[in-house]
Amino acid sequence: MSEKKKDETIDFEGSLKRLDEIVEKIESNVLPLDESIKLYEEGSKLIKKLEGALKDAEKKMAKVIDTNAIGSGK
Amino acid sequence: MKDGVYSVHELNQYIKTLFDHDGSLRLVKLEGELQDVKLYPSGHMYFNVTDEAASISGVMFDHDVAGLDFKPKNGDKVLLIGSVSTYVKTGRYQIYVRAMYLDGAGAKLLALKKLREKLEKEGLFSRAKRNINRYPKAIGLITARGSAACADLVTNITRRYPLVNVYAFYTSVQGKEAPKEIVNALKKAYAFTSKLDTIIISRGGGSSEDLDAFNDELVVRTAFTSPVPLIAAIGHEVDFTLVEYVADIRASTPTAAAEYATIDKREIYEQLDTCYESMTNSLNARIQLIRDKLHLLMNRPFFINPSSIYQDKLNNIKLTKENLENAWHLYLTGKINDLSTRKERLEAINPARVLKRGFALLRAKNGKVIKQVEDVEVGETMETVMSNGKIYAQVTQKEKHV
Repeated sequence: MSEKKKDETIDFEGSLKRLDEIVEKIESNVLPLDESIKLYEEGSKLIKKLEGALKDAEKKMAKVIDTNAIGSGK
Repeated sequence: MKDGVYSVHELNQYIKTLFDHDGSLRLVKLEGELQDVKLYPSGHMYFNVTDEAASISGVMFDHDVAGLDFKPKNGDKVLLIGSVSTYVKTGRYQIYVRAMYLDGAGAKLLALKKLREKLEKEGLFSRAKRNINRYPKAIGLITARGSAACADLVTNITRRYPLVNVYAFYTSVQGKEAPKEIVNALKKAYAFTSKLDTIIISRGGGSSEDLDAFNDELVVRTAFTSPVPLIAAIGHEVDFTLVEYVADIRASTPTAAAEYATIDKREIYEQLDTCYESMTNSLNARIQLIRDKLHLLMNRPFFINPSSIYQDKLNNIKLTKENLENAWHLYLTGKINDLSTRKERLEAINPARVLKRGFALLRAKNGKVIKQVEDVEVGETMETVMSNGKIYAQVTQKEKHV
């Protein structure tokens, strides 16, 4: 059985939530500028990471894993 | 109504309300034999329902007729579900049939109904539905190997959310062995090594398929115990199977189930784009604001022309200096003019000049200038000063003007 390893699992939902939080914070304009810039950098990185993970996953041929096959291997 | 007299229409309308307000006529189950079955081009079906002793007319509208899984004909023994009401125009009452089952099917339906009531009483259907994680890491499929449903599920799930791992727990979905196999597949999924976020139990659509397996008591009870949210896509619009009642979500098709189970990657891309845009816009706006403020400051005369701070003072000094110079010049000119005037006046009275014009200066012996006759004596020698020398002359005579 060779279950293909997914790239270090990303908590997509959590990451998107964090992203929303970042956008909200930046939009609120209450943080000092340097903090906003730091958040912006974090947000940009996060976006890149999520997009990358999604694109990578798209490229891979997603297929069903037959649990019966796994079962017989055990 | 006028003076207690009904019009026909009013009376029929009134009778209709009597029927419609009667709860026991609203949901009627009726057993009987079909007679005079007529299917109209409109799609509506008209018939009589009879037994040995009586008859009632019935109608089934096109939408409900379309849902039938058999073609009713005269002599069919059927179980009907519908309501009884009157047709105002004719005043005739009839049964408005919503569902029709062939006899036998009727018995099965009754058994199913009993099971449904039992399970309902136990609370299997009323448990709070769980939320589906639309960003799943793993999804389990309970479906038939090679079925259209399975293909639809896999295609749609992986197309929408390629990050997910799809695990198939194959089982037959119809036939005698199906209930047992479905139960086993479910149990296997529950105990699966990778934790599943969602389980989808599905069989393809189709017209009048045998859905018994999904009404099997053990299947339903096993489905109820799913430790993770369960989506049921049994693919039959008209009747709900009991599995669908216990599932957290009922999807009309496998594709719909895939949509419930996953977020579409396009939505994610869009969300990421929107996030990036909002983030960038608001930061840019903020920086622009700061830039504008800075610009405003930079445009202050102070910054554009720093010398403006001391220019005034410098000008003052310059002006004062000029004033001083002017004053001095004026003073000096005045003095010079003064001097030259004096010089001219001096010049004017310079005796030498007078002498040059032919006048002479007379001096007595004692050196005094002779200004009048009395200043000199006859016989005295006077010094006569000319422009270019002196003459000594003796006074011979004096004559004073009167």
